[in-house]
Amino acid sequence: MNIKNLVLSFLVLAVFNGCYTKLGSIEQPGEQLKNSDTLVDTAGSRAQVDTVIYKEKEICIWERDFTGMPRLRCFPSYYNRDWYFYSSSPWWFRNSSDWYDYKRCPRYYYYDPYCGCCKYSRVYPYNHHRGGIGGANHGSDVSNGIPNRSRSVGNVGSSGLHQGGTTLPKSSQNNTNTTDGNTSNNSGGPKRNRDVGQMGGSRVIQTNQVEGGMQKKVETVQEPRKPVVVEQPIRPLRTDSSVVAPRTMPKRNSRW
Amino acid sequence: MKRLLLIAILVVVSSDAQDNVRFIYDNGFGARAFSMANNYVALSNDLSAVYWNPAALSFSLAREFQVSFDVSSLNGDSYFSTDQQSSRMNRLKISNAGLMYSFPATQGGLTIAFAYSNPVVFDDISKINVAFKIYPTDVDLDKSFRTSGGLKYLSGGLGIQVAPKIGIGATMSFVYGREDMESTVHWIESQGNLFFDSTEVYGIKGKYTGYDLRLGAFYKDRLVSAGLRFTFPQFARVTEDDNDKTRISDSYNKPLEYEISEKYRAKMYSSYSGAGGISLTLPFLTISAEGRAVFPFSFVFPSEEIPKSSQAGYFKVGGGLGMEFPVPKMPVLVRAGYSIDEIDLHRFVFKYGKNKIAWGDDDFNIDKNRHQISAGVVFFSSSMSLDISYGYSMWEISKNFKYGYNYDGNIKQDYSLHKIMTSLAIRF
Repeated sequence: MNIKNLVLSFLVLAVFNGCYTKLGSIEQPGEQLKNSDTLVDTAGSRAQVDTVIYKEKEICIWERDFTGMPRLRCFPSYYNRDWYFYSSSPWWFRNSSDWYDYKRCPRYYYYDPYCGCCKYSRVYPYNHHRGGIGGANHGSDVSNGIPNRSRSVGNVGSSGLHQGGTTLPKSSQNNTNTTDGNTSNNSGGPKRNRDVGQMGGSRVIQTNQVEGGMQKKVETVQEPRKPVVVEQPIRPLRTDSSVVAPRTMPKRNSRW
Repeated sequence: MKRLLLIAILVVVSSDAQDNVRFIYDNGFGARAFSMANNYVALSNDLSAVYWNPAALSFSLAREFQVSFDVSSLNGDSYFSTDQQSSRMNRLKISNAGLMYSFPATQGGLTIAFAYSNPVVFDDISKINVAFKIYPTDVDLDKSFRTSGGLKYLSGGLGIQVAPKIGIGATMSFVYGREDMESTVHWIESQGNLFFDSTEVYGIKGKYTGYDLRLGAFYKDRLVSAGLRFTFPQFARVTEDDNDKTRISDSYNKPLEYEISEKYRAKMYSSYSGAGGISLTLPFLTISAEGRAVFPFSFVFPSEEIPKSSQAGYFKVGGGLGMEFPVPKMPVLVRAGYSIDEIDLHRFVFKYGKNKIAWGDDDFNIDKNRHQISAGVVFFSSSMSLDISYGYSMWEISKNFKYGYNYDGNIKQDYSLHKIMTSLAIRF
């Protein structure tokens, strides 16, 4: 057996195919989003609503699809959800404000361990960090990059994405992008929403009595809790192109 | 003259012409694998992939710190003639510890890992205390043998996904270790008022430094995953210091004592080995099956002529099954496994100086291959897991024992190993 050839083949295979793996980088917490308003739900723990459609024997976890986008995968299982989170979710999803606590906070809220509460950001970072992991450098294809945490509030696919807060400014590009993303969601429907969207959708309709336009919904939202502006959310990952003698031997079996 | 003759007899009894066979067993890596009887090549999803299948690292997109401890008790029951003796060796040690880091990736996965482990164990025990008659002489024989030690690995591994669902990986290890062996033989012959009494205490202290290289390939789908591992021959330089203390007395002469110490240098080799497995993940069960093989040494030393009677010239195979069950509504998994592996009389071969490698099996017979059953439980949260595993394994060997033309007996040795291993893993 020619070891050199085997090792060489292995290395060649790795070199020529290794480019399949595309590395990214992480923006550490503290780097702030510009043009974003961040809100906190002063209701504290009351914000930790969980309307996840949690069917018995079914698990939903965040994974990545083939393009690296986050994908909420639901499937029947007797395994505890934490096990999938422990063994399957990439660790950098945990650092992402938008992916980590989908089971604790509504969409557009993220869980802040410092205050132990869900905080709100009307900016949906994945729409603004081009090339970010899971996100979106897709323009109108934003829907692919939007993780559907909306199991708590609002329809993932509907334009009710801002109702987690109060009446919001409509002028920022962020909103536009987000809206596009949700519109796309609504029409295209990434498969990962299959459960979340249904629940969220029904809520939106109940709350706003609207399924249509974004503006109308924003204006008509009546939120029982009044969030206040506090700080910027943690930013998610961003793609980075850089990759990285007498006896000649002892009497071994002398026991016998 | 008679004394010389007796010394010659003693040497014949207490040593062997080949002295090449050692009984070495694998300790594995990590409690999770251990709870599934080490059928883990197709299921590795933690730091232990650095040992079982480095390619599986590419699918472990985690930052993990893991440390494992194990407590083991090796029991040896020796049978010779009408005698049965039991001996035991207990151990408590850090089985492995290490870090795994996966680089953030938008697609695929790239993970590196560094680990300390001690996957190869030299522990062996045997004890004989028997009286028999070689007409017209009465013989009392009291022998004990004990060796401990093993090989430790400092490993660096890398796994990378090279295509959707497919990863490859490699682990390079610096291998070091030690061995501490001591054998005591007390032989008494008596015939009326005449007697011959000898005691020999023989010890070896060995040190090992070498390397280990293993490659892996891994396929992972939602329900099915498959893994391959290929291990290149390990190589280690060995230095051994032996010490032989002998005391002889008989009914005619004053006691004679002598002591000999020698230093030896050798090269230690293993053969190619590999494993392949497949696992299936169902909503209520994960099951993993694995096959293993150690290649004949003719692949490593093509120019050597290995006798057909030697086990070193044949494939040694093994395999097993591991299962994992979730406990509904609780963050708990239960695991169990079974493995059977052919006892390898030549796990390593040694080349001392310019001597040729001794390929003989030293008249050993394998009466029962190694069976292992194990079970374990893991408690986990979203960022931490605690594995507790227990395993029981057993194997039996024997050797024909001849004393001149007068005695032809069989020494039989039954081994059993109880081991508890626990691993704590933190993902952050």
